[in-house]
Amino acid sequence: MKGYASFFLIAVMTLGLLFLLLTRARAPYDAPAADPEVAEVVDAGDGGGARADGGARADAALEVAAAPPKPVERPLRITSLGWELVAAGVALTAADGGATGPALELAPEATLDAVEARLARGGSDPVGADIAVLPLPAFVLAYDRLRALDPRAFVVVGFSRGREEVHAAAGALLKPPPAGDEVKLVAFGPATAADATARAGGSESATMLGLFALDLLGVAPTRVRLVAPGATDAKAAPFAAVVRGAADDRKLAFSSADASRFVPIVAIAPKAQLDANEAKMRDFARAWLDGIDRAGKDASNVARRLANKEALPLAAGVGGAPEAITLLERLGQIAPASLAQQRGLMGAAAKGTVTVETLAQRQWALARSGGLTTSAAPSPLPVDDRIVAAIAPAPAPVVTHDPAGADAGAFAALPAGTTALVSYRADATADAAAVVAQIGFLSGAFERAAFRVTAKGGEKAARAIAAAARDRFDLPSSRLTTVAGEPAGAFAIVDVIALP
Amino acid sequence: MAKDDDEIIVPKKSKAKPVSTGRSASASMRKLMRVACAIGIALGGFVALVGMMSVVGLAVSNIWARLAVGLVVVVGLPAFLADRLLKRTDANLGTRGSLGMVSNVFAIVLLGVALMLVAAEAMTKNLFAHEADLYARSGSTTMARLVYFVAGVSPVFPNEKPGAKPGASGSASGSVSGSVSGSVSGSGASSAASPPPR
Repeated sequence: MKGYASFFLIAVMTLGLLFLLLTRARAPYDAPAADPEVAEVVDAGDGGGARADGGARADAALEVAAAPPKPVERPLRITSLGWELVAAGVALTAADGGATGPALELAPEATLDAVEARLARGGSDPVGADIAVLPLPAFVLAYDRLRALDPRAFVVVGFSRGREEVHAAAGALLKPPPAGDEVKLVAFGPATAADATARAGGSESATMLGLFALDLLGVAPTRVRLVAPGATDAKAAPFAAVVRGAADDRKLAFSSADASRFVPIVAIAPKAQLDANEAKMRDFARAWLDGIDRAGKDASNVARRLANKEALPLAAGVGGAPEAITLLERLGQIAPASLAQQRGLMGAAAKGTVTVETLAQRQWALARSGGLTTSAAPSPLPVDDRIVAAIAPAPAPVVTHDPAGADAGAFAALPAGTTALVSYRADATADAAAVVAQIGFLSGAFERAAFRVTAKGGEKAARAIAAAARDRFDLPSSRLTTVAGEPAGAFAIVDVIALP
Repeated sequence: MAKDDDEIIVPKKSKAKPVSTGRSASASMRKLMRVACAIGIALGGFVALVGMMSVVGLAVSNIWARLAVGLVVVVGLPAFLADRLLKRTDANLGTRGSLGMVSNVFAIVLLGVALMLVAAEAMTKNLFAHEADLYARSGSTTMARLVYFVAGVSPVFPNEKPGAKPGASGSASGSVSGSVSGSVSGSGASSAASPPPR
């Protein structure tokens, strides 16, 4: 009887196991490509003998025998912080899935941690990456953790255009800064990373923009305390730095659409990669910039293909894509950078007031004093211009405004309908040269804004500062205006004005 | 020579009492029982072995280390239980019917472990998929397919993607869908909402 019982039990268990195995729902899964190095290790490990799994031995031997004699060149693996940042890669992939440029594998990620993890694994790993495309503030914050890789920004692929917003209580960014030891800013950061609403409604770039706004206002980042949106003291916080679409009661003060050059999106790669594969990196940079151009002409198709993961060379371990409408909106929040602009944006030939180097320096200072990163900006800065120097034409000469000509006249009054976005308040210890330098930086970061100068000493002093800024940075007089009167509690105030 | 394992009789041990198997089954029934037992051991053993290897694979990617630990557990656990049972019945492998009992213990234990691993899909899916990834990376596609099958996923190998060049397994391009294991991140739902851009 025991024999029958055992037989019955074994039969039932076998059938049950088969039933479970055969009837479970099977989701599609990207199997990783065979890694020649791993295969070699497995082969070498048994002294050229059998593989560990007997059943796979013959199969593997057949595959090795059938493999082409020369190793297949693996694709460049690109990861990005956000799905919209691989739009160029989508545009470089034909509708049938074939590559129209260099062979690429795309790995868009939603968090900086995931991007760092891919870079750390390297491009030879199917779940790793050779290159990351991400906003400069995210690179600044990730640099500490990736320092061993010696990552370098080597091409600017675009600028954030309205993805990050600074919200403030009415007029708070135009008034003297709040007194007290600390100023609360609702934003995403190390202190609020555990909060789901902070993660969903903030970003590294938005936080950097918020710190920049407060720094202009005279609130040093050391005084800023980051608060999660769901925290009890968030309601009382006068400022918030959030991504577009995040719910916030405070009024929108300005966004990265106004500070249109403050958040460049850069491609980064380990220095060793740039050294070893310079030609490949040049091809990539050229193709990617071309892809950005193509993506801009067919945004709806790119958004649909991304949302559906349709005929895309996606890497292993890629998560779910946002909806097409969300992607389309995000694609609109990126201003593309062209090949012709590259040498004006980074490297020795870049002479503008805002370059990747100046921005990195400024953002590192903000992040360091704001407690977002543990170290100061590395010297030299992790920016490598050899790729753009090789592929991009020399920057166009800057249009010089003749100081003796029409632009040398009085600073005209601003047209009606202007909006003051944020004020730069130079404290009583500052001097005119510092204010002029700040106007230069602001004129690059807010490339379409005008500046209203008020200075200690009245309109005459304000005019002197404005004239110095105009002459030093070749600013048109139409972007500068002066106001009579003395600033209260400051050496000078520069209001950043959005023109209609 | 005995016709089957159940009837092996070692003369020196003939004094030992035979393990009771109740009423003797017909020859065809015994054959069926043996086949069922063999299938159970093979199927359960494979799933249990892969399961154990995948657990070890989380820490060690070396195939020999994984295999050694997997075999120790998959052979050692039922062997230990069978030994305890034999001692309780004062029998040994030479006793009539004891070999059948040992094989039954092996089948039941291995099938039990396999059933638990497969039923706990939510917890073990990623484990099995990771193990299959290791096979896929080492070029063992057939083994990888078998383990992906146990993991409950439908693998798409790089050379099977539309647009991929035949034989170019290292060059991935083409249509793919969301992943399940999320070796790095991601959940796999093709239209799942993702956090806003950073």
